[in-house]
Parts: sequence; C-alpha cells; structure tokens
Amino acid sequence: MQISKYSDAKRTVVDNRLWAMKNSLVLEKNMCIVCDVCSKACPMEAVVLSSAGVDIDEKKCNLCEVCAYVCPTGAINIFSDKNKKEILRQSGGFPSFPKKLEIKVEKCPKDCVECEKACDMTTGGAIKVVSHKVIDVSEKCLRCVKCAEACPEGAIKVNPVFFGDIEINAEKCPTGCVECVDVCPTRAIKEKNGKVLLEKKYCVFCGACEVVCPAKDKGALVMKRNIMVSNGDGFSAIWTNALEKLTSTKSLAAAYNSINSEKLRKLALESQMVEEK
Amino acid sequence: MTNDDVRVGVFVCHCGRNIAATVDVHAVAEYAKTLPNVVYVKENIYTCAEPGQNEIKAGIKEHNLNRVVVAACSPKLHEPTFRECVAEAGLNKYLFEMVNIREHCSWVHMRDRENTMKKACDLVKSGVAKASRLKPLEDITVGVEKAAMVIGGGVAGCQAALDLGSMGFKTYLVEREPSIGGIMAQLDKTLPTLDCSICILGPKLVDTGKHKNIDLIANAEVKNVSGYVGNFDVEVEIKPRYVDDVKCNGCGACVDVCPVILPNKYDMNLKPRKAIYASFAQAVPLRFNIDVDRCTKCGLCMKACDKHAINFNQQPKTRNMRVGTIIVAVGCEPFDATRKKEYGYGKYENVINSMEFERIICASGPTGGELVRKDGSHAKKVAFIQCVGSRDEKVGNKYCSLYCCAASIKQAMLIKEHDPDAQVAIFYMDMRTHGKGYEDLYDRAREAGIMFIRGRPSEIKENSKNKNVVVVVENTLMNEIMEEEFDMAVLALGMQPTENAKRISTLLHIPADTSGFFMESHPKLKPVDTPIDGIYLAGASAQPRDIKDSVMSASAAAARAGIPMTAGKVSVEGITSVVDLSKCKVCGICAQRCPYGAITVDTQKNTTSVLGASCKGCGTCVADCPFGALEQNHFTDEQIFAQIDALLEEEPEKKIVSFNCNWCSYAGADLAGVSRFQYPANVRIIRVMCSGRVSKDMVLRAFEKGAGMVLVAPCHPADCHYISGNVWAKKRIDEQLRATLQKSGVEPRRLRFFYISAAEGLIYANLINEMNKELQENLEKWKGQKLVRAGAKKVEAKPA
Ligand SMILES: Cc1cc2nc3c(=O)[nH]c(=O)nc-3n(C[C@H](O)[C@H](O)[C@H](O)COP(=O)(O)OP(=O)(O)OC[C@H]3O[C@@H](n4cnc5c(N)ncnc54)[C@H](O)[C@@H]3O)c2cc1C
Ligand code: SF4
Repeated sequence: MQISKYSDAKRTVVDNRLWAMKNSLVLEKNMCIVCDVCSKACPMEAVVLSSAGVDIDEKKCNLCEVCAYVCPTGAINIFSDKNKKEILRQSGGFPSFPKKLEIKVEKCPKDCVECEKACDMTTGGAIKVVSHKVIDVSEKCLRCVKCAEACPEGAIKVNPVFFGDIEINAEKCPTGCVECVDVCPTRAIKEKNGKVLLEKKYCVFCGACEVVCPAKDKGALVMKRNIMVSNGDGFSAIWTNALEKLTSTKSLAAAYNSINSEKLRKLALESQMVEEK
Repeated sequence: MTNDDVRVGVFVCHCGRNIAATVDVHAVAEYAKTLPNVVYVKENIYTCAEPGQNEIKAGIKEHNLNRVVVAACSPKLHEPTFRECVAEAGLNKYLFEMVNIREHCSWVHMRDRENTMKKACDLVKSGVAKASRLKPLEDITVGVEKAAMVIGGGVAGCQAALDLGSMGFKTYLVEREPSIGGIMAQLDKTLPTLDCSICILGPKLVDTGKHKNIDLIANAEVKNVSGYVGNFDVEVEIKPRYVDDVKCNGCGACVDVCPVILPNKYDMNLKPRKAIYASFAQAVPLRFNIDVDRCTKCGLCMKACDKHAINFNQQPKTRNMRVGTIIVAVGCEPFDATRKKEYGYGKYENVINSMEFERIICASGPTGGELVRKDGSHAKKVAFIQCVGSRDEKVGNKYCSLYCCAASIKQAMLIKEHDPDAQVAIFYMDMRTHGKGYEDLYDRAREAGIMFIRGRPSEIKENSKNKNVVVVVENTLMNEIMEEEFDMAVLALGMQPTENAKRISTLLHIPADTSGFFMESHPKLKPVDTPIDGIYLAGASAQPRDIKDSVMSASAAAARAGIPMTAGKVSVEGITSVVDLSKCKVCGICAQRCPYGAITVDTQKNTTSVLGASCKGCGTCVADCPFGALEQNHFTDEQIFAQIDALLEEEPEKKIVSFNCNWCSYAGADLAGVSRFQYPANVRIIRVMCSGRVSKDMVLRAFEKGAGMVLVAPCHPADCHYISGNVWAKKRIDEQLRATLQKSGVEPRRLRFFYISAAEGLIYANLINEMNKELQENLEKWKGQKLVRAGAKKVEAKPA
C-alpha cells in the first residue's frame, strides 16, 4: 500500500497515491478550529483529537469523505486527483447541510458593512461585502448569529446545523482556567473578572470548548447536541452513525423512522451493522 | 551359527568403476562367502541392468536361494527394482536386503582404500545378518477415492484441474484468492510470441469455472489434511465474501456507490479499487467481495444491490471432502525488492519492479498502457536490472529464476512496440534464454536496438532534481565503471516460494528443499511426485517455471494422479507395526505416539490393534512400548540388533554407529555420496524408516558392544516424514538417555543427536569428520568405558 502522510505548519495530507491517480485528504490547519465534529463522525475512528489539534491516522482512514462534509469550517477536503471526491454524497449516502446564510441583498443599504464588521470581530472575515449587491460568505462561516444581529435591515438569516444545550458551571472551573475562552471560535465564551461567561445565543455547538476543558468530567462544562439539521436524509450507515455520535440516539431513531430510511434500517438491522434500539 | 533353512545369496555390484574403483569388489565377494547362511555369491558389473537381474533370478532358481542381498547403490534408488526382480523369480519381495556400498562407501572414502574395504565388508555382513532374519510380508491394498484436489488456481492449477476433470475425475480446485488466475492473469503479454496473456488465459479460466467435474472453491484455504494415498480427508475453509455467491449476478452496481478507494492488489496497488470489488474484469468466478477491514459499513452497496446479495453476517464456512490424490499448485511469489537496499526500490519513485511494469504497460492497467512515470511524464529511457533476488547469496536465493531474462527482453520489446524511439538497456550477468523460441526473441531484441550491458549494477541513485535514476555498474565486457541516467529502472524480480509454502509443507508433510520450493520425489525420474504417495507438484511451486513449463508439469501431475485413481487401488508397504497381545498391557502409550491414529486402544475389551492401511511404518510406537509388545515388520528389534552386532564385531571402539532415517539423514548421506563429500570410513550407517524407531536399547546395545560413538540423525524438527517421530526420538534419546549413559559409566558425549536433512550432505560429512576427530582424541579413554546395564530388555540376535 502506498498510503503516506505528511504534515507541515499549514496542512496535514493523507496521500493514497496510486501510480497515475492521487487520492488525498487535505487538512488545512489554519482553518481547523479543533472541534470534535469530524472525530465523532468518522466511521473508522481515524481522527485523533487532542488539544494540540486534529490528526489523521492514515492507517485507518478510508478517504470516505464524511469528515469533509461535516467540518463546520471546510478545513478538510478529500480529493481524487485534482477534483473533490464526493462519491458518498453523489450516491445519496450523505445529505447536504442548509446554506449557511441567506442574505436578501436587495435590502442592503448602500455602503453598509455592519455584517462584515461584526464578523471581523469574531471568526475573522467569513462574510465580505464586495458591493451592496454582492456579499461573499466563505466556508469559514460558523453560523454564529453575529452578522444577522448587526444587520440594520434584518437582511440576513442564519441557518444553524446543531441545536442543543450548553451550560458552564463556573464555580466548578479550576481557578484561573480560561481554556474554553481561548478556543471558542465564535467568542460565545468570554472572560469577565476572572470568571468564564457564556453567551448562549452565539454558541454553534462545535464542541471546541469541550475538547480543551480540563474539568468537564466534574461538570464545569456540559454540552449536548440534540438535533442536526440537514437537507433530507442520507441513505447510509455513515450518516446514521454520524447522527448517532453527533447528536443523540433519539434523533437517530427519528431518522430511521422517516420513511426514507425504513429500508436502510431493516437492512442495517439484518446485517447487524447496528443493534436494535 | 548356520541355519539350514536360510539360504542367502549375495550379489556384489561393480557399478562400472563407480564402486570398483575404490572397493575391491572381488575381495568383498570372497568375504561374503565366509558369512553365515551365505550359499551363493556373485559379482555383477551392473546388477541393476538386465544381465545383472537375470543373474539374480538364475541364482535364486539354481541355488534355491530364499534370501537375497545386493551390495550396490542406495536402496532409495534401486530397492524397488530388485524387489520386483526377486518377486519375478518367485521370492517374496520382502526377503530382499540392499547394502549401500556406493553412496555410503566407495564415493565418500575415495582416499582410504583399506578402511573402505573394511567398511564394505562390514556393511555386507550387516546386510546378511539382517537378511537372514527377514520374514515374508504382504503389501496392504487400499481403495482409492476417485476424486482429486488441486490446491492453487494459477495457470498450473487450472490446467491440472481441467485435465483431471476431463479424465472424468471429480476435482476440487481450491484457490486462496477470490479469483483463479495467479500471476499469469496479471501479465500483459507473454513471451516469446508476445501474445496477450489474459486473452489466452481468460478462456481457460472460464472453462475451469464451468467444467462439470470441477468444483471450484475460491477464496478458500485448506485447513487440515489427514489420511493417506487414496483416502485423504481434507477440510477447506471458505472465507466470507460478504456477498452472496448465489444471489450476486456480477452487475457491479455496488462498486459505483462505494465511497472507499483502495489500491488494487491485482494492479500491484497502482490502480484503485473500491472496498467492494471483483479482483479483475475477467475474474472467475465473477463475484464481488467486500474488504471488511477497510469497509466503512455505510450500506450504500446494500441500497444499490437489487438482488439483496450483500450480507455482512456471512461467516467462514467449512467443507469436508475425501479425495484420492492431491496436486499442489500454489505457485511462487516475486521477490521483495525492498530487500535489495542498494536499488532504492520503495525509496525512489522511478525504480519499479517487473510485476508493476506488467501492469503499467498493460492496456487495462493504471495508465491505459502508457509507460508513464509517477509524475505523469513519459519514460523514454528505461533500464532493466536482471537477477534481483536471484543468483544472489546475500538475499539467500542462489538459484536462477529462469524466466526473468526472457521476461525482461519481452518487456523491453513491449516498450519498443509502444515507442520505437525509446532507449532501453538491459543490465545482466548472463543472458539465459533457454526455452524454445527464446533465443529468437533475444535476436529480435538486439535488432530492435535494445542495449545489453553485462554487469550487475552495484547501486541505483536518484537525481534529486528530475527524479531520474542513475544506474552505477561495472561493465564487465568493457572493464569500465559507468554511471548512466535513465527515466526509469525496472527490477527483474526473481521467483521465490510463496509465503505460505511452509504451512502447506507441514499440512501435507511434503518436504521443501533448501531454497524453500517443494521437493520432488526424484529430481529427474519423478519430477512431479512428492515423497508422499498420492501428492503431486505442478507449476512454479516446485521451482521457478515459465508458463509453458508450468502447464507441462501440471498435465504431468494430472497424469500421475490419474494412475492410482484409474487403478482404483494402491498397495501400501507391509512394513507396518504389529501387536503381540500376550505382552500388551493396554497402557495406551503407542496410541499417543501414532500421528496417524492407526492404533486403537480399547481398555474395555483390553486390546490394542493396528490398522495396517493407516500405519505408515515409522516404528515410533515400537521403540517406546515399555513392554516390547510391538514390533515393526521388516525393521524388527531382532533384525536391527543383528545388524548392530555384526557391525561391531571387530574393533568396535574405532567405529561410529549412525542411525539414519530413510527420508532425511539417509538421503543426506546419499547426497554426500553423490556430491563426493569425503569423510572418514569408520562410520557404519543403519537405516531405519524414522528416527522414531531408534530405541534406547539399540543405542545401549551399540555401547555394550563397545562402539566408539553413536549418532542418531533425524530430520529437522518440523520436517519429520512421519510428522512427529523425531520429536519422540529427541525425548527418548537426546533428553533421557544421556543420564542413563552417565550412570552406566559411558561419557554422554559419545552419543550424538543431530538433525540432518536430505539436502545436508555436506553437513553430514562435516559432522562425521568432526565426530571422528573427537573419537580419535579420546580413543584410549573411551575404550575403557564399559557399559554396565541391569534389567535391560533382552533381545538376542538369534539366527533366523
Ligand atoms: C513479471 C513476470 C513476468 C512473467 N512473464 C512471463 C512470460 O512472459 N512468459 C512466461 O511463460 N512466464 C512468465 N512469467 C512466469 C509465470 O508467471 C509463471 O510461470 C506462472 O504464473 C506460474 O504459474 P503457477 O500456476 O505455477 O503459479 P501462480 O501463477 O503463482 O499461481 C498460484 C496460485 O495459487 C494460489 N495459492 C497460493 N497459495 C495457496 C494456498 N495455500 N491455497 C490455495 N491457493 C493458493 C495463488 O493465489 C495463485 O492463484 C512471468 C512472471 C513474472 C513474475
Ligand atoms: S533468468 Fe536471467 S535474470 Fe533470471 S535469475 Fe536467471 S540469469 Fe538472472
């Protein structure tokens, strides 16, 4: 096998190089927010997650594409030669997610850059006003609601992917610990007077805080995703696996029960790919 | 001592000058006349030739002989010949004994005529002593199942199966991979005619798959084999494909949707396949498999499959069958080029091996047949490096792989065919184009402008700028060191035994030679038989072979396997064990010793019985019976003791008694003879079928009679022809007997236990040299050590 991996300051590449064809996974480190979404969704458990960052175990990785689909910032891409490899989605195995932002540009006042300013303060330029008719939204956008809040005309609609619960019990935090504040990509968590403060409405349930929290076992931070929003269902165990791991068995059951997945559920049960719930 | 009923005739062979040059045959004959029971002695120039055989027959008739001794070559060569000869003269064939004065005497002591003479006389005496005690025996006849198994479905295995199937025998073809085809299915064109490999192989695979007498069991391995010629019981495990064989119609819809891309082994990992795949387009059977280890279990294939053929629940299946004969056609494996570090394979991207080349130049390969480098550019200047992993002691493969010179010329021609302007050079030590039409190919290649440069490259370097390879070589014809840059280097891989050859070898009890290829029963006269009756070799499993030779050997093996199956019966030698129930205490030790389950111990009925057809005649049970209740026909205690006594009558302290097993060390000593490896003449070999037959009493008897040293030489640990005889010999002789010797006042050093294989003639000769040196140094000291024994099993070497 000619699977190799190399890593530098910018990216990690898993390269499955066949003579004239190159299949690869490219992880852009500067875009990675070190959340846990890909690691949970990966069916091969090939993502090695640590507070230092995301690493891929090239011996396990199958280049099955799921991490590329779920990554909130588009930091991971899978290529087959120069093209994006999207067999899983094309075969109906994985759904797409709702468009990040829906912007009614016709409402935009001339010269208004409020959204851009609001975003700049947080995730660093995911939304860009090219002209008052053209507004670019990059993959970096995390679906926090800051631009929408800042828009004087209410022209922006944000479509979240995750819904859930999050709680920070500051009294349980180790004194002086601000790990979560440092990693929160949407600055939903702030520090005030040496205390950690959560603004729930900005939370996108990426889970980056959970990755670093040293006291999560003690209950300092509790995060639970309940629902994952997608455009329809994927017909594959990769999808159901991602659902189960990322949200809850409840929503998995919901997916199974949707008419579309009935056949899959039966097949999956038959072949013991999943256990009966 | 003379017993009137026993009339021994001795025939001493000159073997032209082979024996007579070193041994005074006439004097040996004169000596034989003085031996007890001998009534007739005759010298022959060639005893085995027709006149010689006629003299034996005449002797038997005219002198009323009832025992015959032939002192000539190795019984491994001519015992069957002479047995038949005496049988034709009306004597029971077991009343014949052979004395080896060629391989074990004249050929190995060419510089010491005096002691060679003494040895020859001793050996004849020992032979006569045994012959006088021989009993008539009958062969055991067993029925033969009219079904065969072929293991391995390369071109050889398919040919063998087709031949057997067409003869009308039910044939099970077991292939480890999901499809049959072997290496040939991966080749682009075949030499010398450059015709398309899969085009000629494909139809054969299809025929094999649909032949009414062939039961093709692919994706399976043989797990267990028991029984004997005519009646092998085989257990085959079929690995799960996770795709239902019956439901799958081979449409391939599943492949399109599978998101997992993996390298395809068939394409030498150069081309992708999915986690669900068929090995190649022409695969037989054309069924899909799921690589479960790499499958994400996404289930998309399930959705795509209309036939509901996908089933992750499949478990390995076991099938049992009884077959009369087995053909081993497991093929060979190309050498792993990463072991030749100096050629940078695996490190430099433009150093590839010959198998990869076959895929790259093939139209169905990763580049559609274009000779494209990894970086996408065309290779215009290519070097072939010969003998990579062949003729190379450093990597342990001394042999020539035979096919690769011609195969590289073929590959070079293919480059020229694709691109007449390409420059091709072949670096070789010797060009060996041995086959029919191969030399023509060589000529055509030279005409086509392919360069042949004599010299084995010492190194391949990489030009880091353009990734070109630089071949460093001493051109031995021009006597100059050259460094030449090429776009690509192709390593012509040697062939070596498959990695599972060892497992097959233990499973079937068929020995392998020093290079790991299975050994033929006789390299010239029985080239497709193994030493085990009913098991035959086909294709590259016995030695590197090209396709034609593989196919030829396969047809030969099928023909050989057809013999017992057509006859419907085979006879098994009558040299089996027998129980004396009056002495048997039903302790069950013998049943534990028997690896063939031939002994049944019934404590209820208080009896022990031996099933003759299953008994292979190793004699291990006999040697370990604490009550002396077992005896091995033709190798009785009485006979062997008589041999020991005869050999040690004179100057025993100067002699080494060597117990050699028929299959390994006896053959090893034969090999020493054939190779003329010289060693001292004071060693006296006693042949037993297995080292397991050598009892403690035999060794003690030898020391009692004053032997200087005793050697017990079994097969190497895992190689015992009788599976475990040597293990018991080791326990009994090597581990237990030394203490007894110590107690009895004999230095344990005087007993040696040393593994010798049939290929270790030189090691045997060296061992005897070394033992003799020690014996000479301690001669006086050891002479004084008398073995004192109390309560030993008493076997008198009574006259017959
Ligand atoms: C690069 C290259 C080029 C060549 N070019 C030519 C050429 O042009 N012309 C030519 O005449 N020859 C050529 N040869 C040689 C040719 O490939 C061999 O002669 C031929 O493949 C030998 O056939 P086989 O059936 O004996 O062995 P194989 O082809 O090796 O087949 C053995 C089969 O047994 C199976 N097997 C192995 N172990 C087991 C097991 N335990 N149980 C069940 N099945 C098992 C294997 O999977 C395989 O299918 C070339 C060889 C190489 C490497
Ligand atoms: S056939 Fe030629 S290349 Fe192959 S081992 Fe023999 S000499 Fe070397």
